[in-house]
Amino acid sequence: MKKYIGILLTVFIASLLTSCSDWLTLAPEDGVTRQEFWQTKEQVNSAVIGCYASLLDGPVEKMFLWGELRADMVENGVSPINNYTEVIDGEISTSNSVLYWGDFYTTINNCNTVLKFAPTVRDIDGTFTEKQLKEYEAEALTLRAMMYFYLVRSFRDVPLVLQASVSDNQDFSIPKTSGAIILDSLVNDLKIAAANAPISYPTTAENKSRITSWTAKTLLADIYLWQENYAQCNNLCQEIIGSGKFSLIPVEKLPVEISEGGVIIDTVTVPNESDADNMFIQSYVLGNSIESIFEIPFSSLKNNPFYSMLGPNLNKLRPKLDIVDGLIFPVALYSVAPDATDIRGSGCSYRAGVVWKYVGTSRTGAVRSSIQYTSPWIVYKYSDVLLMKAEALNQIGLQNSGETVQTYYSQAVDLLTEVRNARNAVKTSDYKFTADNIDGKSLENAILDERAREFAYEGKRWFDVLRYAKRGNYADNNIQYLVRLAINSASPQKQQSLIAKYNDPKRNSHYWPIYYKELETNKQLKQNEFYAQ
Amino acid sequence: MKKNNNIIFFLVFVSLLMTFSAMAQSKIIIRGKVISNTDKQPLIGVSVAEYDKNHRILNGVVTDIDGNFTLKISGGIGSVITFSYISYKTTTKTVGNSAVINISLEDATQEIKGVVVTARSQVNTGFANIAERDLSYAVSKIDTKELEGLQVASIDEALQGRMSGVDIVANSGEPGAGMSIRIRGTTSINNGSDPLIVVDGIPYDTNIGSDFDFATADEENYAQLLNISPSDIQEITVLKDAAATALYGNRGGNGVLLIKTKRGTISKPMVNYTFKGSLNTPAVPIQTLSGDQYTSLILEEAVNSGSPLSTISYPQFMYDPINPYYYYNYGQNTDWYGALSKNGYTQDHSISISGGGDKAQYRTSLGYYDQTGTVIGQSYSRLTASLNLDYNVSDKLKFQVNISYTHGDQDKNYTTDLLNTAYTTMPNQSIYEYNTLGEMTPNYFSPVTTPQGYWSSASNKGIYNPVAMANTGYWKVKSERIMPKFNIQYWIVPEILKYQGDLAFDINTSKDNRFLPQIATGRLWPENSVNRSTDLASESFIVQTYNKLIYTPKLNENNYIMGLLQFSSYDARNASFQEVSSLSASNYLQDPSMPSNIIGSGLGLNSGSSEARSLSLLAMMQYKFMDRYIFTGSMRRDGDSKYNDQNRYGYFPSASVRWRISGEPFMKKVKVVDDFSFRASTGMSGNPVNKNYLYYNTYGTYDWTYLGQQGVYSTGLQLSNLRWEKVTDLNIGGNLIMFKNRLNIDFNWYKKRTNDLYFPTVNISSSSGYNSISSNVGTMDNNGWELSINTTPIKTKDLSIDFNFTFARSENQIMALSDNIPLLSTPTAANGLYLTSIKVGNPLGSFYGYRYKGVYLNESQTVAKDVNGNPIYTYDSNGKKEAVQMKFWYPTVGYEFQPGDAKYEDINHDGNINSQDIVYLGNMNPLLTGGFGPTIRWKNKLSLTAYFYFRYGGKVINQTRMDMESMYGFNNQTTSVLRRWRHAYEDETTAPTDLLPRALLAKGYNWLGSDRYVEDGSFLRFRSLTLTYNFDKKLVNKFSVSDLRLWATMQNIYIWTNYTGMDPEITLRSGISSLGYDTSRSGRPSDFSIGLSVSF
Repeated sequence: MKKYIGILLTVFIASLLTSCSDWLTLAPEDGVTRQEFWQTKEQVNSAVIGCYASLLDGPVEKMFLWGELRADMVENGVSPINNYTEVIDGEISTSNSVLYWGDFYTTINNCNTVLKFAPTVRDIDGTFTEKQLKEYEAEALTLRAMMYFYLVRSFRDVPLVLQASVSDNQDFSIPKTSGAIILDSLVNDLKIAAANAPISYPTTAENKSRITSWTAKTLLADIYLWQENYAQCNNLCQEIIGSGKFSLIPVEKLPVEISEGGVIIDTVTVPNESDADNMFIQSYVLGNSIESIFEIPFSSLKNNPFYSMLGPNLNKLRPKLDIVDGLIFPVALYSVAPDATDIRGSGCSYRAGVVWKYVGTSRTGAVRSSIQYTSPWIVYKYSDVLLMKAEALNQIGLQNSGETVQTYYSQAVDLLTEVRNARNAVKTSDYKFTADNIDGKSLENAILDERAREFAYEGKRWFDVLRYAKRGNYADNNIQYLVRLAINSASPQKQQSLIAKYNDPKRNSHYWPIYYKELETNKQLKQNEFYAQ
Repeated sequence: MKKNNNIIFFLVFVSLLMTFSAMAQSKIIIRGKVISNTDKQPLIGVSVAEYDKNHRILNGVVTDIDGNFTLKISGGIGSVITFSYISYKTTTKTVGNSAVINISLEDATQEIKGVVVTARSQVNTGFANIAERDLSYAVSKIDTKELEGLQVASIDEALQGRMSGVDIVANSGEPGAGMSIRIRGTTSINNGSDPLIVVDGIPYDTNIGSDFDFATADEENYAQLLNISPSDIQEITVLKDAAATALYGNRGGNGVLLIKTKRGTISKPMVNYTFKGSLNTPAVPIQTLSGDQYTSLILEEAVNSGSPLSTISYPQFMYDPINPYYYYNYGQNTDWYGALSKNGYTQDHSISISGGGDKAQYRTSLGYYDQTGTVIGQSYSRLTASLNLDYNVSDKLKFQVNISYTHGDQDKNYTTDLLNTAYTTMPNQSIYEYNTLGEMTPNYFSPVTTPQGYWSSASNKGIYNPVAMANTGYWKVKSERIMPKFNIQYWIVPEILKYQGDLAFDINTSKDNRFLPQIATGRLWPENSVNRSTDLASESFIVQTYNKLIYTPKLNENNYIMGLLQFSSYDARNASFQEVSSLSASNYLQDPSMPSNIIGSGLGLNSGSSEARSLSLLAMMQYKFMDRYIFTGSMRRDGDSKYNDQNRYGYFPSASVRWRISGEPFMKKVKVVDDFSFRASTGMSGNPVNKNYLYYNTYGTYDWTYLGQQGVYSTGLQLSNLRWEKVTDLNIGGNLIMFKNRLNIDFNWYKKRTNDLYFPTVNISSSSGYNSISSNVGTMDNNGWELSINTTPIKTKDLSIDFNFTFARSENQIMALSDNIPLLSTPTAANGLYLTSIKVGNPLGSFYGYRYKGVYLNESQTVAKDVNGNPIYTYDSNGKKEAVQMKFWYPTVGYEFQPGDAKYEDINHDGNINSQDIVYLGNMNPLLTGGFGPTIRWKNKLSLTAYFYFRYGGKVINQTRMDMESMYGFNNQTTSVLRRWRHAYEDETTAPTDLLPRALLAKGYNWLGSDRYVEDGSFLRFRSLTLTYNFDKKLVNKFSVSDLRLWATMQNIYIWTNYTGMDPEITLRSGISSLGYDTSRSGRPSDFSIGLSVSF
């Protein structure tokens, strides 16, 4: 009896001691772990594509909202939502989900992950060259810089995270870094990226939707402009223009003479409708136009976020026609030539009460069906480089004195004119620049107005106006640029309080408050001054 | 797999051991004749068998037509031959020198006279039946006799409120919805607080692994019913404290529900048939606005918000007879709820055969359950079959086989929120479309968009025609479940050392077919929501093994020891495959494999699989001295594949003691006390996390491509700090049984602490690239007591009355929480949100908000007032004195309150309603729960059972009311909004007392989270009333029926409550942030059923 017990117990216990832990180690069958990934250069490529793919799911929507909602070109549509209404009225509470910045940090983390693990693949995959690695790193660095540039322009000071998030052993409570310091580090990253990124890819689509050296340089020029480093901005823009890679889509124009009482008093031009339509289709329907420097493509697998936001039936936002139609885009000067108008206005930026760029299938065609929302999101295009250079030259001129000033101004006017001519901008009496006596301040205004037309609904308006207002630390009554925006954008009963808020630049009301959930999860964060109660 | 080999090896080893006793010897042949001792006639078919000393059959024959037999026996002289025959007394004879044995068997029916039952009630604790009086644990037990006649699909519904400390709540009133069960409160914030269910000793998985929920389904969709036919259940026991759950370790951390199914007994074949049929009537709906009332509300909303509706943009509110299309399609007074609801019917048939002889017992049953819901398109039917077989090979060896099969067929609506949508759909909209001439057509009226919105192809949610959806859309779930279980028991040393092995399989497959017809949403070609069909196949395969050694040495009379060593393993695999396609050519082409579109967001093929394993080793010892002092101790080591190497194993000890005071000599004189004892136990158990592979940093691909290429990204952080959630339990209790079992009191006090509280979504700073991770974050306590009293106040020959009460109180408190969880979330300025924070020192489910003070009746009331009630003034730019308006969240929001707006209490009198005016409003936890009810029996013929159950205390957020009184959008509202503010009341006394704020389209702050919607959730429910009639045995025996019983039951008869919503009984299953919110809009249907049970 005792023998039996002894044998049984021995067997019993022996069976327990053998490799239980092996039996309990299970790896996921339908996913891949980090240890299994990062083996080949193809995997690195997939991870880099992952960085881009993440842009489609949130950042683009925020790029639009952050650039337009507080500006003067949109208003509540047929189905207003409270979060947007509050921002438009300047009643921004910290629980407004428009403020959520996590989408940008998701892309940043994807980039950080590539930057951390791609170099380790060099040790494993012998066919993965140093040059390829540098190119992939340049793409990740540029994308990350782009995300941070959006964050800095919107919040000014944000946590600067440059490490990949891998495990729960890391500390994720990162305090804010001053926006100026972040921009400096972006400049350094982008210099490296501009040197290493590919000059071009095999296909046009990749040239426009993957980071090239030109993308890095354009972004860097934009950052220099924000930093008010006009000389560097000017140089970089010159480099991009000089590359000859990009140009404005030509539009044929027919002159129409305007006579009054038999006397020809003026000549206006009417754009060729099919050329104008071509510009619209190349830029906003097909994508990958010759003008484009970097754009984010959408497809039937992933539509852009504009159906429910801007679509004709239930739009949450629509063009603020009282400002856009007539003020930003002047009407035709002469009733006898009603078609002598800007090709970027009605039929392009807006039509039928909606933001047409993302809704229409052509200038005069039908609206898109709900699954056809595949317009690309244009981040940078050639005209941006031209106008950035114009702005830089204008500012250099304003900062200098003496005879050289006019040469800066006239170069800037040339660039401005290049854009205006290509788009058949309406020549109003507001800004007339004679060859030898250009007023720098008028030119400054003219460039801002031109940017409103050129980049209508491309998520740039608010940032442009803020850049103007904060120039020289809100010197020279620059704040009036914001005040003008407030007058244009807010509903009448909210105007005064909004102007009061904007007139208080020291209290940081020009930047977003931090979303309340971020403050809860990160004790190191402090609410932006104006919104801290 | 290596471990499985070990187990197989072990089983083989055991079976080898058993062959030792099977040794052959020389043969002798015995002949004879068997007759009956009453009529001296030969008996046909009598079993004549030779047994060895372990009572194992060596040889056996049956008697022929003349009662003769010839048996070749293996043993020599002295072997034992047994003669057995049903309804005759089994007789044994010893083989002597004679080769002939004639015998007359005694009729056993004459013997059953005045049997004295000395057996004591035993409790199924999962591994061995221990006499209830010897338990040192907290248990509650219920015999299903008490439940007979209740019309329920599953047994958990019937248990509601009948056991102290067990809180069972229906997730919703819709048919087919599961129940959530809590034993002694919520122990885990979100890691599933449902108890483990053990059927015949083997844990039973109640739902599909959470890894496999596709985005389209929530937990409730997949919650399966306990697919056991109530008539197959013999007994249910609940193990509550940690010492009791020590046996089931980690998986039993939330308590264990042990279910024992009926088995065959030694008897003639018994056939039993049971029928139940019932009528379910839908609950009285919420009263909503008619189309005309609705239209005037919407127009008023728009005007109040400052932008009157243009009937060009909104022809739905034009009411222009010149435009018949809009006039008729949007000029109706449609009762959407009435168009969807109907009476439901249920039938339940169950037939079983049981019986057996000395060697083998069997019970087999077949059941059919069929329910049609109270909403169009909802039904549930189930077929169950089971076989329980016991075979006694010998006194030493016994085995059991249980096989059960369930086929379930559930029809649901494509959307789960059909009734909710019915309440909110525009009532002026028509069900069927009118053409441009104003003539009604047979087509459903499903516009592409309505002012309420549209059906979104991207999220697969939105606005639809509810009647079209109910009739033409569907979600069918077909499931098959097979559970074979094998059990072997072998006495290695008779009466002292027993080996018991269990091997159980659970094979579960289910198939979901869903179809979204275009005619319900009105969406246009070629969107992904047009004729969208889904086919999801999922399967799970579970293998469990248990190997036990039970040691019960024979000591002297006063000392009793039992030891148990158990090794168990668990392996579960899940796999699923889904196909979603859209744009099939017609509403009638509904299979996704037909030519259709699979490219697009949410469409295409999808699959997943995962595996989880666990191992545990348990040692347990019970020692009893003098029947007065009982000690039990156990130690277990659990390993789980969900943790990394460092945190994989947990050690969980437990100890308990029972002192039977009534057994002490000084208590012997107190005759009225049958049993009086004191119990104490403490122990620890572990809760594993509910997801696999969390300790890996995994990579996945995006659902879309970029430039035609797939992008890979890191889908989650590597959670290397994840560890066991540990529940430590201290239980002190007592039992008192008096007056010959006529008073039975059971009391327990407990303190239960959960350490390393697991939280599946701990928010982390999104600058990490992630929003949340799973983590062990804190400590939570559940303290409380339970009392159950069973009394028999009247017991005479003809009449007996039982009265049972259960009461329980459970208090929940968060003791500590990591810094990563906001102690108190930042207050928000958004409508409809409460601060439901987790705060140290407060219970889970506390809510905070503003205090509602009615409505600003006129302009002068909107002026801000200071502490003394005097208006606050300021000076404008011209130096003119002006009154300050009450503001909301100045300066960030700065909204100025207008007459007709909701008025909130300005707690700090600063003229500004903001975060400083948010106060504690209550919590959802009830103070007391329980149930009570009498059973009256008369002459063993008639019995009447009533049952009441209640929850007292505990607040409920009536979110349904919040949503349906908000007057903020285009949703239909309740009729209470007819009392809304419509003009200023300069004379405040003329204002009605129950005035609601004004209607405001997408503006204002009239429905902030405030005490306006926080209601008392106490209720007393008259749960059931059953009348049973047993026919006289003598009467029915004439029709060869041994037993006939009829009953009638009413359920959900009445509820006493002050709650204004549909039902204060709200689900406990919801996530931590939605605890206490009542979103239900369909009340519990009341049922009337009749039943019949007949045995042959």
